[in-house]
Amino acid sequence: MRKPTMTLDIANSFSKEPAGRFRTDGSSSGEVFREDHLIPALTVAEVVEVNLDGTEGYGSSFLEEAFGGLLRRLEMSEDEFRTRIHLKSDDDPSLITEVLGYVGDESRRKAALRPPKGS
Amino acid sequence: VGLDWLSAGVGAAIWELGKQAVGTFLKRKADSKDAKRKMVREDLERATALISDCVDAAVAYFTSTLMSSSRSTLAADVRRAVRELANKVHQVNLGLEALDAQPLDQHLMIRFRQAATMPLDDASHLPVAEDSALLGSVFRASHHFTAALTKQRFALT
Repeated sequence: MRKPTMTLDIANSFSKEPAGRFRTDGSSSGEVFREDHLIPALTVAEVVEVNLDGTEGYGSSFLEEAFGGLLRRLEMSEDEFRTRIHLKSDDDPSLITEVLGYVGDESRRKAALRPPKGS
Repeated sequence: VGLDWLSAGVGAAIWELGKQAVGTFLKRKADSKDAKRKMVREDLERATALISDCVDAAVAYFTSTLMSSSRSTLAADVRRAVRELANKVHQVNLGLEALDAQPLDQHLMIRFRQAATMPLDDASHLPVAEDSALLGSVFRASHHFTAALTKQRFALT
């Protein structure tokens, strides 16, 4: 049984300088965060609160790979993302808008690739 | 007659005091609003300067011919500059909300961050042929952003 919530504080439990898209870009990349922190957290908790504050800044491709990549990697819908992942960014709320934009883009991309019903 | 005269005098005094209190209250409110507007204008100026810092950092990155390890240091400088700008823009928006003014569109910040940082992570290797085009995108995003901040600053004068 999953616990109700879990908090992931990127600055304290992952990296103060999250950067890069793929694992090959370094140990602080979006892929590393998604695979080694975010997905494991989603397996043990119903809701994962991700705190984006306190880092030295984010690159857009880190954000896209970590969060948009989650929809590519798992069978997760945009609604499920919004229900199960709560983003927190007191320092810069535009980060949340940006991440939700990537999630929406990925959701639309997946929908476009889905074969039409009845085919 | 004496009492009428007295009550009229007291009434006039109360009226005068009330007028003064309301006047002082309105003046203080106006002064405080002016002070808030001044503060937001200063934050907008600071944000404009921070856009220049971001562009400088991006130019340093995109025109570098350093090995990838040094390039990642320059990339971190860009991300840090962009974070500082984003924090200031958030401060500006809080100030604008306090003035019941329309906050800046978050997509200005998002588009700028994408232009300035997306290539840093996606090209964590030696300079690539597209560097000048990528730098062009940073300049374009910075022009749009600066124009929006300037417009907002004039709206507050």
